[in-house]
Amino acid sequence: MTDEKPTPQKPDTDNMEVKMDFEILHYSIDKEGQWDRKMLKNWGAKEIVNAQTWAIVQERIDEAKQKVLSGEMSPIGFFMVKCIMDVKLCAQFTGFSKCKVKRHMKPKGFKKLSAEKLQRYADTFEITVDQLVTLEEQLKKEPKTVA
Amino acid sequence: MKLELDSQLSAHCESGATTNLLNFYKIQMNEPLAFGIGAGMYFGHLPFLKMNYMPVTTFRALPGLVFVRTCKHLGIKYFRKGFKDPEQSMIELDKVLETGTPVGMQVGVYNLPFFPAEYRMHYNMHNMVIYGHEGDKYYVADSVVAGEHTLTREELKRVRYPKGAFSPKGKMYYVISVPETVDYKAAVLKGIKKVIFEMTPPFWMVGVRGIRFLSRKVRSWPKKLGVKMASRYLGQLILMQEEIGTGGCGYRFIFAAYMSEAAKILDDPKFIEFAKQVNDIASKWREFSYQGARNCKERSGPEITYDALADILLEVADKEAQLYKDLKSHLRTHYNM
Repeated sequence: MTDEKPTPQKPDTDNMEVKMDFEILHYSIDKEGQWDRKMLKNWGAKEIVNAQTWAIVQERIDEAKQKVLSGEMSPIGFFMVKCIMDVKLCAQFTGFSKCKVKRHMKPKGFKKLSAEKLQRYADTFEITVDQLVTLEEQLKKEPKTVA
Repeated sequence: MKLELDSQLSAHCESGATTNLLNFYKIQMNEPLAFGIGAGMYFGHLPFLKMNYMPVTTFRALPGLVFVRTCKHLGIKYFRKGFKDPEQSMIELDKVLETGTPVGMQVGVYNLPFFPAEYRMHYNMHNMVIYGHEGDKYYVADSVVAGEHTLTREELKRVRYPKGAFSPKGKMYYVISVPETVDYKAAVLKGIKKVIFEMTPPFWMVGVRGIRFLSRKVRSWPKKLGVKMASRYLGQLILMQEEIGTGGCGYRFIFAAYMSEAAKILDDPKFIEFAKQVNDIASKWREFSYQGARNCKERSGPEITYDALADILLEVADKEAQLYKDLKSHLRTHYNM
């Protein structure tokens, strides 16, 4: 491999900024019925709706953080939300069944996981096993910057 | 090796990919034409499918259909297939590229590095064209994001095998051979007929009946889900309509452009009127999204009642039903279809 830096593979959902510089072609019809198209930066309800989508994701992440700290949820639940997944999607990515993923989302089930299974989860979330296991301590130390 | 592909930007990713592929074979094509001949207009409200914990509303046909139909209606021979084994699919891709054929493919957006970060959801219906590779580097013509892009082999494999709803499973498609002369007139009519058929089905979740179904649902949201969740459902609906797949107003504006294009090809001024009619519908959709977005800000109560929104949807449904009726009778009387 070359020494170039690897590009970040997944969007950083924790501090997402909704930028408005993405342009999209838009079509219009004039009075004679001829069509025309031009690039537009702002259209429709883009800003509000997009901001809302990410606000929802952010809210879910915060909720998951609280749950991890209070011991209701295992780190797998947190990283699942962070990668914008639900249980079904997580099950498809990892290859575990849905009810197993649900079990692993609880601290009790998480403790029983073997190293190999942890690796499978870590690969899915694109983090190291270390990050996965020590999430709770990291959250306690600096609740803002995780992974 | 890098093929000479004139990559055009487009609003709808799949009709854009189709346009780029067909332009490579010197078939005159632009985006509205590809979109219309491929019968890309659609509507479906599918509450049993969930995306991001919310019901899916789709404004597009199933991924891949636009390309397939455009080729069928124009008499072009094509190949389209998915693969079970990722490695096998990459080998196959290399083989096809070696013969000097650009390849279109369906990919997931989440892992696509050049895509704007705020749109990178687990959304698997994006389309792009690969037009060459040098070792590890693949040249990508994306019709939605401007500029030249490259992907490494690993990245490409990742985006071709995402998981979730409508997973592409490495689907790729390319043109095998093109006829010497192409009959645009017949193709245009076939496209319109297909749209009429798909939008007036005997099933309550899709087409015009689907819009009415959605209207009933929108009316019931605040009572059933509460103010907060109703606002989120509405946000997801508007996101689908305006952004995901990035058509703007559920692709109605592109269809209006197609009607105008059809008037030129068929030499029939009646289609100009249809173009205006579709434009009217598109404006109505846009009104819905503008009005609806007022409820999407985090507030204690809704600014506009959901009943009013549902009424706009009913109006849209009436207008669309009228459009397909008019189109159908026009085709029957003038073209014997």
